[in-house]
Amino acid sequence: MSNYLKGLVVLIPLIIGLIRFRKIDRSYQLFVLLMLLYLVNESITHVSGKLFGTNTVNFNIFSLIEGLYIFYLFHLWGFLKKQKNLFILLQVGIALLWIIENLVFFKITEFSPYYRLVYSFFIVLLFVNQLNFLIIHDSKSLLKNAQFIICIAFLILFMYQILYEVAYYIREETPDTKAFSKKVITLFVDLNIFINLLFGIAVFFIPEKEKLPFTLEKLD
Amino acid sequence: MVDKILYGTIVFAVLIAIIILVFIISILRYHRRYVRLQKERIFAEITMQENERRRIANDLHDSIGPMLSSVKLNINSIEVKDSVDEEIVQKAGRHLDDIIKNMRQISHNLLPNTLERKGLIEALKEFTDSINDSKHIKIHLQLVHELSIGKEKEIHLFRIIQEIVQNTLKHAKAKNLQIGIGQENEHVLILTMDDGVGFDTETAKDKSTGLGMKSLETRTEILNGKLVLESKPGKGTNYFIKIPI
Repeated sequence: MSNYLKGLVVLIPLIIGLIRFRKIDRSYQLFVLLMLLYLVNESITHVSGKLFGTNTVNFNIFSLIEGLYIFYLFHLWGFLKKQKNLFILLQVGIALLWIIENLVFFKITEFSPYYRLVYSFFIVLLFVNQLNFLIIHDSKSLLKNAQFIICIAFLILFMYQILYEVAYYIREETPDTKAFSKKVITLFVDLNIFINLLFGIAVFFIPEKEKLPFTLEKLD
Repeated sequence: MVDKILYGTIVFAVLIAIIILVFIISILRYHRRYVRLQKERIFAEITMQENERRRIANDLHDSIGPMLSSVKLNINSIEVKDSVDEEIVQKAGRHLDDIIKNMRQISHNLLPNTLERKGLIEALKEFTDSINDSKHIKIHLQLVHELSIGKEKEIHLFRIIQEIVQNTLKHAKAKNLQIGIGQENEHVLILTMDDGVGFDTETAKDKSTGLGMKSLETRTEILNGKLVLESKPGKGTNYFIKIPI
């Protein structure tokens, strides 16, 4: 199966999410839109690969959008809302790092690992923190908690991304590292299928917005 | 060539180590916050409960009590010529006496007046005297002359000792119960010993459905205290409680 078709598994959480879109809270709606962004990125990657033989530019631009988007999700989920300075620092910090790496050093046409390594690391830390918050505070079944499943999925994804970037960094050193890196890189595509399936389960468990059974008339 | 592999491995290992460290630190922080919130919640609930008891006890003692006494006075002041009517009035008077007595007892059980007016030590003396009068058990109370505890903690200490005495009366089949209260280095110490039947503490923990022991543990915990229970079948039961002031 081509990598593009494997990438289209993101349609599963996206379709479920779009069906339930109006009934769910805004922070989760943004998560569904992130699935849409992933689909758009997959399509552009596929087209760009066919037309130009490479997808480095859209890949690097998407990495920036993904990083900023996920930090914003944390802002909506509460942790970064309470830590406003940290939120601004993270957004500005990774944007600056991206600008320096891709525009100043003009690595936008290459697969350079530094920005992705850094933002993956910080995203993992944020998800670890959120996961621990849920473990301690949630009194209901965690396995049916959408945020918990999303955290687990992103944790796996971005921890693997750290490994991916390190593997890519050392890929040309020896024949062994080349073989190792190739395995890590190809496995990433298969891992994405599993992650998208987890996203699908998470979207299924997203709670609906509370509907008020009645409204009160305004007092004069 | 080897440098790149080495740097790559080191960077990866360091990042994973930091992630694990952050995981441990954040889970500890959240757990500590959660435990503190739980304690505050329980403390608030118990305080509300005690305030409610105080209110009801005061209402019974200060408003219903005098009203009933006034009703009794009015009834006794009725002039009756008929012996049957006189019998009825006297019976009503006796019923009112019983009601007033029971009501005072209920009010006292809810919150002993002595605790409010004279403090913990006097309240404990009064409580143990009333148990000794009933002759179910002999309680030997050893108190230091002054305990410097805040008023808000006195009620909890009183309830703890009350609970221990209730447990002893209900389960221990003891003839004697010794209660010692002291103060040492910013801690109140309570030690109780009975000569009752004792029990297997491990089995009791698993099978217990009563609230007494849980209530003891909860009150000790919200006061940031320590509770140690020692008991063996045939060897009586000892409680040791240490509560910071």
